[in-house]
Amino acid sequence: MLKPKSRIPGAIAAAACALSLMSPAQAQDRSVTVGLMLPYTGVFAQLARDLEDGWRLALDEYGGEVAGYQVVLLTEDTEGSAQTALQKAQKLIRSDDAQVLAGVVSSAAAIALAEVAQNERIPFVAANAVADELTGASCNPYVARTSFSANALQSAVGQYLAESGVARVVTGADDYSAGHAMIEGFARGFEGAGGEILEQSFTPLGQTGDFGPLLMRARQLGAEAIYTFYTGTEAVQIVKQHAAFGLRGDIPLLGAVWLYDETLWPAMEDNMIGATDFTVYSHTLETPASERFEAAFEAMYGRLPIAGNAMGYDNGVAVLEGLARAIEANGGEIPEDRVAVIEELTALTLDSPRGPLHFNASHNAVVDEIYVVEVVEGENGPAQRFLAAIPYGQDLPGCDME
Amino acid sequence: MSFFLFNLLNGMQLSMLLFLMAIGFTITFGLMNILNLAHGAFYMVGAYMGYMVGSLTGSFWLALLLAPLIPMVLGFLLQYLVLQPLVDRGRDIHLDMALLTFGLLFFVVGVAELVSIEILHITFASIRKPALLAGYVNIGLPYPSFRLFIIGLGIAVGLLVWLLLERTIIGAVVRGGVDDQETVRTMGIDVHLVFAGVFAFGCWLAGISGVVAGAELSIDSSMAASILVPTLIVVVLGGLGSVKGCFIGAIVVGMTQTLTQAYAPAIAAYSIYILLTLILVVRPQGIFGRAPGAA
Repeated sequence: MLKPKSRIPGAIAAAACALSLMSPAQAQDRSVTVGLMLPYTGVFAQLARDLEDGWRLALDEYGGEVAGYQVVLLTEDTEGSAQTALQKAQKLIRSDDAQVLAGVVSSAAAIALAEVAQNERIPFVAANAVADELTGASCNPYVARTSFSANALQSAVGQYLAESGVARVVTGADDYSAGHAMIEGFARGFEGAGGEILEQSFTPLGQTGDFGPLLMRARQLGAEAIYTFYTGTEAVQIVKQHAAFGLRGDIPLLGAVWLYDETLWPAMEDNMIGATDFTVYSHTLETPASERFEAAFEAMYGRLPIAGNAMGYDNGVAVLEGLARAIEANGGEIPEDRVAVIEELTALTLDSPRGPLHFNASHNAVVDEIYVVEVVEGENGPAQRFLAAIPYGQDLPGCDME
Repeated sequence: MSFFLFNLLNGMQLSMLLFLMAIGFTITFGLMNILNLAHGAFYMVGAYMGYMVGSLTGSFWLALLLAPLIPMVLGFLLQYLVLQPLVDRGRDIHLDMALLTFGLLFFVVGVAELVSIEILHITFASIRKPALLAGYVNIGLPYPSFRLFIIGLGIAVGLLVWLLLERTIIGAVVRGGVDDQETVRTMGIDVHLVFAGVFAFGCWLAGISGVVAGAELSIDSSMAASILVPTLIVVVLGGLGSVKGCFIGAIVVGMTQTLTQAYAPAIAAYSIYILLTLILVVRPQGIFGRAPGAA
């Protein structure tokens, strides 16, 4: 039912090419549109801009074109909601002739779009949504993810913490699906390596943040560390309260990726100094790929890249390279069934600034390592100091690719 | 100090924070019958202004003193130039006011997002606490000094508002103006100015709570909408228009939230809604509200 519709734009494009009396040298007139969907309004607005900056660096490195097609990058605001994301996706597919959808931060939006991708037969390459289900129960041939899954990240951190000698922790997260998924992932790694979780504390989502009880329980139970999953506003609040309760020297507050995110530092005053952070990318990495990326990013934007930029860059490179190869494999034309883009993309090994990156059978990106850094007081303000690289974890099973 | 005493203090601190957020709303709603759903916007503006004053001057006290003046002025203008003319034209039913102010809330949130990202280049911010209150006192367990300050400030503001409304001429004029506009006007008092002043006072209180929250919690564009539900619960539970009710309502909500989180975490997420339902079934006007049908 949908196939005839998807033939029409291709037919018109072909006809236009035939009718336009273009010389072969002007093959640039052929264009392919990519829809980059990000939460430009709402609390993730800055992350949206960071992801886009990374993406545009990738586009710049490809000279704005793939396999003779000029790349038209259209950005759309998902507002962080699944409903808006669906509307914008429809607009991109129907009015803008988008050939690939990319981006997306909200897991709810990503899972909704995964279904659209399959129904409309349009590739969707997620840049930042971390729900395990996206490459689990919701997986399908048209969906890939270039970031990471919650379980892989958290179990890696959990295992590392237990192996580095932390024996007893208290965990804290909001009482909703993502909070539980993150802590379960952490527990798999931590308890699996012999650690003991004294108590799992879940705070009500969306209520005025008082983390006093959680912090005091940690002290009462004699925990060695407090492991949490909090983002944005709540991350700022718990870090400040942790310091206000005099716990900074006694019981470290830990969390992967989001707790000590760079964009939160201005709001944390100095309370994040000395904290251990777990991240997927730090500009302090001294690998050739990271240094190259850092130099290119700094040349283009005049500042050092952060994790969000690296994620956007990886998403861009994956989409552009996947497109380029799919077009070349199809004799220089965009393939009829763009599932070829996903097939090409997931066969790649990317030299990502995060480390060598390949894709598993569920179309999820797999890196070798994630990184332990310390937040320190640098010359120009707070900065990261590289401590160690630790092995990346496993995705949860559950993907049944038809 | 026992764990229970600690939780009591925590509950009191949260209660006073909620009270500071809700008192402005209860004044405008209870006294003037204006459902100002944009209350959160004034709270957020107070927070952002507090952040700017705080970063420019390095002083929390200056921020607390100066920042709430902005929402106060904006509130005065809103009431005098927009809401009052609507009331005069007969469009004073709650739904009209609710829709207008609700829309205004989201408009202000959008502006705040734009300004904070494009001009200030920050998404999340905090107001630096004053050195005096930045640490903790040892009362058996280390307890943050700023939280004790919040408790004190909440009680002080409660007393101030009660005094103003119950013990001063201005208070009498306001209460008279609400009950019988005509008579007050015949006494030569410009009721519209009085109302605008009261509205401004409510917004000033919202601004103060914004500065305090900016230091204790954090500042970002989502904060305006996030206090709407807790504020409404406090106001409805305590009884509309009653300062005492707002105070007690805030204590009930704050204590319930804190104590369930500490002792019965499984029900913490919805305990307050259950409580609200129970109280409204037994006493629909709230704890200190006027009984329905009363003059």
